[in-house]
Amino acid sequence: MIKKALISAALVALPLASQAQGAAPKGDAAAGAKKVSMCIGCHAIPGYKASFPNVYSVPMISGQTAGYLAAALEQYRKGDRSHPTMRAIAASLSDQDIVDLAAYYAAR
Amino acid sequence: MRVMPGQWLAIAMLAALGASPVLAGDVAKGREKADQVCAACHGKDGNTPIDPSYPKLAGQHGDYLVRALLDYKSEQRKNAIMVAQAKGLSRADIDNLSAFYASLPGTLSHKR
Repeated sequence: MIKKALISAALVALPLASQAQGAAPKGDAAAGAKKVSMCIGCHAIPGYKASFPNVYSVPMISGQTAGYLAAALEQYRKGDRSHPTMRAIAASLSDQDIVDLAAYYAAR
Repeated sequence: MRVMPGQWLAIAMLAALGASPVLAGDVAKGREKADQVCAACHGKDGNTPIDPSYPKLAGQHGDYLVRALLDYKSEQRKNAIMVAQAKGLSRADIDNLSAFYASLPGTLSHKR
């Protein structure tokens, strides 16, 4: 009786545990490829410069590490990085969008 | 000398032309400093960071790297490690380091 209850408890708990582990979304480069429309207008143009509030070359992001790209977007979304355009764009991204874009650009 | 209104336009245009990624930094001095303070995390080649959340620097635009370090130094960009690192750098260090990393071969590109 107790044994049976334990087994059913374990059966219920197992999928819950794996679901909790899946809380951090996994990046999908193919899905990311469909979300680059807001990125390419600046980052895909060699020589393009950010002009406000400071003038400097827009960084190259293709081939960058996925972890850094995701962290950068999260920081823009949170306000830890201040570039106005990037803050506005990052604010529109979901957690899944961020890891998908990071996976896509890291694989370029 | 008084600058006439029309001359301001010419000055602004020259400034825009002059704002190219070619930096005044000294690559050799940058390499020396990088080996001391950056290489442990970003890799000696600027291309092999020790943590996946750290960026590759090799081949990145120098003027972007200058901006990043200045923003860390002023704490406009927040990261406990990098703010502490950047506060220890002079403006010349920042120019030299940026010129050094921009000069390295890397995987970064503007590929779509």
